Amino acid sequence: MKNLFIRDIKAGIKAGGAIGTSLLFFISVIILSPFALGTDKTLLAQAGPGLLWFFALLAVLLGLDRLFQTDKEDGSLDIILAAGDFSSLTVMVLVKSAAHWVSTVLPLIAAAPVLSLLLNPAWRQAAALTASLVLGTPAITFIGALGAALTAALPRGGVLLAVLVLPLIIPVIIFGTAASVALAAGTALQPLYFLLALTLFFGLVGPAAAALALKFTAE
Amino acid sequence: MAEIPQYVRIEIEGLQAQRGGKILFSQLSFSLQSGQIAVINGANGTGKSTLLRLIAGLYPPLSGTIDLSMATAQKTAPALENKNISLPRQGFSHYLSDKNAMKPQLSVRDNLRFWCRFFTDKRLGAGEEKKVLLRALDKVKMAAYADLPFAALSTGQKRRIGLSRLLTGARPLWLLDEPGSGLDQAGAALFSQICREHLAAGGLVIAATHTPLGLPADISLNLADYRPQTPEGQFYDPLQAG
Repeated sequence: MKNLFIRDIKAGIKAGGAIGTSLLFFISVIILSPFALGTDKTLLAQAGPGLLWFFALLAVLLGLDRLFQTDKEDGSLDIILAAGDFSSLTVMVLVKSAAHWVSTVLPLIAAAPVLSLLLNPAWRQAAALTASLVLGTPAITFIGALGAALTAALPRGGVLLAVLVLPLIIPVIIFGTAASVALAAGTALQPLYFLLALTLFFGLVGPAAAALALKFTAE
Repeated sequence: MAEIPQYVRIEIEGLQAQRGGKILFSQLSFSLQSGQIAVINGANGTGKSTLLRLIAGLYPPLSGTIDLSMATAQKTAPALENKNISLPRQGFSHYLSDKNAMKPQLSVRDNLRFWCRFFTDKRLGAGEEKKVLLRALDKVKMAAYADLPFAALSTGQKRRIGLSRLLTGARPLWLLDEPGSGLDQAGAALFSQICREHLAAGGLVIAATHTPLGLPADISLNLADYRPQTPEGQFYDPLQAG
């Protein structure tokens, strides 16, 4: 399984696609947002965490439809499916999601504090936002893996994937933004715990559901 | 490499399959044992690929059974009766579809290394792994291309690498879907040789192909013979089938 992890990360980096595109998209929309919202400092400071969370979500979803599609297209998904039962497929999805998170989402998170400072020059907020992204974005990847499994057989499944998974992601966005604000203000940490709970919950449910979906789409 | 059990047998009984609401074949039965090759013929759309995918375990048949068994000690038939050990479907076969299952952006070596590790339960040592990969590449005369990205190869070269994947881990049964597509004459000859060696080592081959493999087939099936004869018989109604 470490083997699959390494292959996916290597393929992700060499493709030049996913990482670069998601990161560039993330950076450019954040830089663009003051042009739309105006230069009111308090407004930007208030909107900062929400904007960053929302754009991070979009950037993560951007390349996620390819998670299983490339494997399906080149034929390796068939071999992986034939070789495993339900539990090993669940682990396979978990590993692929982890590889996607490391290769695509981690660069976004690394860029997030700098981008946060662009909107609101406060280190405390930047750190809080980054922490909330680290804890919350895995949930998005896991939910997205389910969508990617359902749409693996479809050409241009990206939009359908977004429509399918966005309702499930609502709680992640709510608690992600809330956790970031709460951390920065130093108030109660409940939103952060909820965010962590969501990541753990979808870390279990997402891969299992995706494994089932892949089994069905093999036909 | 030579971890194939001494005597392996696959028994297919009364198999029926559908695709898109149409019965492709029914009452398909045959059995195959170590050292034997079955060639599946049939016009386009008769279900050759579906049959291979069924055997690979990618989806269940409408009806019928696929049994795998092995006997480790004796090769003689009477002893086999007592020593039949049922085998799980996973880890039994190599499935080669029309696609080569390689990542275009990775090098040939990285691709094969991935599959070698995927097919081998116990991690090989670095030297041993290198030997397996080199041997697999050598068998298809592609050792000189190991460091090129897979995407840079020609169609026939890609197929050769796709075929060399079968040699990165031992599996008794090879399920081959048009293995010779895109291969030149030299490539086809190399592949015949690879199959011959696999059979000699106690392996089994089920190949769906239009082009001759260069090997005498032990069993030759034409799927058109198993097609429902009446037009009504061809329709599969999932509601009626329950």
